[in-house]
Amino acid sequence: MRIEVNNVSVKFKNRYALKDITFTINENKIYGLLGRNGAGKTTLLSLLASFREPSSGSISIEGEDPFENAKLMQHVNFVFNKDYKDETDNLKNTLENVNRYRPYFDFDYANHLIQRFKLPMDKPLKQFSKGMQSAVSVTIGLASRAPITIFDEAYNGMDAPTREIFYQELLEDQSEHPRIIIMSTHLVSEMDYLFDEVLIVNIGELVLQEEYESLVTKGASITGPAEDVDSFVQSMNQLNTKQLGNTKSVMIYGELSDAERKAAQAKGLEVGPISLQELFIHLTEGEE
Amino acid sequence: MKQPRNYPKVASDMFFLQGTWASGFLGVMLIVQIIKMITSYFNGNEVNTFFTATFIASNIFMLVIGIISAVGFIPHYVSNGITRKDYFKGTIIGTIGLALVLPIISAVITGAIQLVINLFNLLINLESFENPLHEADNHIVADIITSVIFTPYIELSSNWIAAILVFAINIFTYYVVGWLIGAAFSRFGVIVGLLFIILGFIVVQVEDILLSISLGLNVPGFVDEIEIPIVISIVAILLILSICLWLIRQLTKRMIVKF
Repeated sequence: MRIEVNNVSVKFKNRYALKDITFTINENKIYGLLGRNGAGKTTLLSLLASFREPSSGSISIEGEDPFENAKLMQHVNFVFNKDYKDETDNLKNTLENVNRYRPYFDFDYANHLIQRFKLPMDKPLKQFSKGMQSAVSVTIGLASRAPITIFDEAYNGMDAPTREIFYQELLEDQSEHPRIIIMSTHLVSEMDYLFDEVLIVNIGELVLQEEYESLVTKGASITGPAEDVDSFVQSMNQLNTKQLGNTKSVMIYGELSDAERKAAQAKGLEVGPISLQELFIHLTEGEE
Repeated sequence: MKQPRNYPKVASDMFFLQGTWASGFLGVMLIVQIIKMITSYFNGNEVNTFFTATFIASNIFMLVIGIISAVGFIPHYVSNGITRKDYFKGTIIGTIGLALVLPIISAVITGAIQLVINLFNLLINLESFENPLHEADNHIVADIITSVIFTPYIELSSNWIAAILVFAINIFTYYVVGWLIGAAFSRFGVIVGLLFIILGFIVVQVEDILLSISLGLNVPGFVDEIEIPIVISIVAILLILSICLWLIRQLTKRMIVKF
C-alpha cells in the first residue's frame, strides 16, 4: 500500500501539533517514528487511522482519502496503549469481536501470542495488569495482520522480557507476512534494530526520513586513548562523550571522509557506527 | 477493492450487546416484581403489572444506553476500522430491533406471570395503569416531570399490538434523545450539551403529547382541546425522530477519536 502525506498540518486552538508535514511510505517494512513527548507522533498516526482529519493538507492511501473510507479503514490498524480498566469482557470475546471486523485476522496466531504472553483467556480485561493490557493490544495488532499496522507506544507498561517477546514475534511475523508497520517510540536504543527506515518528528515538523542503514553512517563513534581521540574530534560536531580510565569514546555527527577514516586508523583509533539514540537526541534537543 | 458492507455487523453487535444489558435490566425488574407480588400477597396492596413496571423504567434505561452509545461506541468502532457512517446506520437498525424485542419479552413475561397467578389462584391485586397527567394541569414543570415518568400507555390486555408498538416507539425516542445528548456532549462539551438536554426534553414532551392526544389519554391542559388522528401523530413522531437522527449524524460524522 502507498501512504502519501502532503503538506499536512493539524492546529489545536492556537498551536500547531503538526506543521506542513510531507512524506511517502510505500514499502512493506518497519518504519520507526521517533519524536520526543509531545512532538506530534500520536497526532500524525491518528490521521492515518482516520481518528481525526488534518486541519490542512491531504492524506491518501492507495490514492484515496482514508477518512470514513470503509475499504481503507479496515486495513489500517492503530494499536495504542489502550486502558482496559472498564472492560468487563474477557480476552476470548474481545478477540472474537476484532475478528469480525479485521479481514486478515488470524486466530491461531492470536492464540500463539496469548500463550507467549501468558494471558488468561477468561478473565475480564479490567483485572489485567498494565503489562498484560499492553500485551492484549499488541496481540490484537499483530494478529489482525492489517496491511498498515501502527504501534503507538503500544508496549508501554510491558516489562523488558515481555517487550523482547514482542520484538521477536514482530520480526518473525513480518518476515512471513510483510506489511507496512509503523512504530512510534522514544525507547530508541532498545528498538533501533527493528527499524528498516526512520522518520523523526520534532515540535510538529518532520526532521528526517531515511533508511536506517544510511542514517547510522551520518555519524561515527571514535574510540581510543583519550588524548588521541580529543585531538582527532577537535573540529567535529560532538554529540556525546564516554570515558573509562584512559579510553574515550566520542560520538560525532557528520560523515567521515575516507581521508579522515584513514587518519583515524593510522592513529590506532577505532571507528564505529553511531547509535540512532545519539542521533535522535542530537536532532531533537534544545529547540523548545 | 470493493467497499465492504459493515453496518449489518454493527447492527447485530449493537442489538446483542444492548440486548445483554436489557436482559440484565429485565432480570432486575423481574426480581423487583416478584418481591412486590409476594408483599402484595400478604398485605393485599395493588401491584403494577410487569409490563407497566418495565414500560416506565425502560425510558430511563434507553436514555442511559443512548448516551453510552454516543460516548463509548464511536471510539470502539473507529479503532476497529469501522466508519462513523456504518456505526450510525448499524446502531439505528440494532436499536430498532431492541426497541421491538424489549416490549415483546416484557409482554411474554407479563403473560407468564398472569398464567402462574391464575393457575395457583393467587390473591394478588394487579392494578391497571392510569395516566395521571390531569393532576398536573397548567403546570409546565410538573408536566415535564410526570411526562417522563408516565408516558402514553396502552394496557396490554386491551390491545396488545398497539401496546407493544407504543412501548417500542416510546423507548426508541428515549434512546435517540440520549444518543443526541451524548453526541452533543462529546462533540461540543458541557454548555452545548446542556442545551441539548433541554432539546431532548422538548422532543420527549412533544412525542408524549402527540401519542397521548391520538390515543385519547389524559394530556396537559394547554393541549386538551386538540384532536389529532393517530396516523398523523405517528408520522409527526417519525419526522421528529428523523430530524434528531440527522442531527446525531451531523454531530458524529467527523467526530475525533481521542484516547
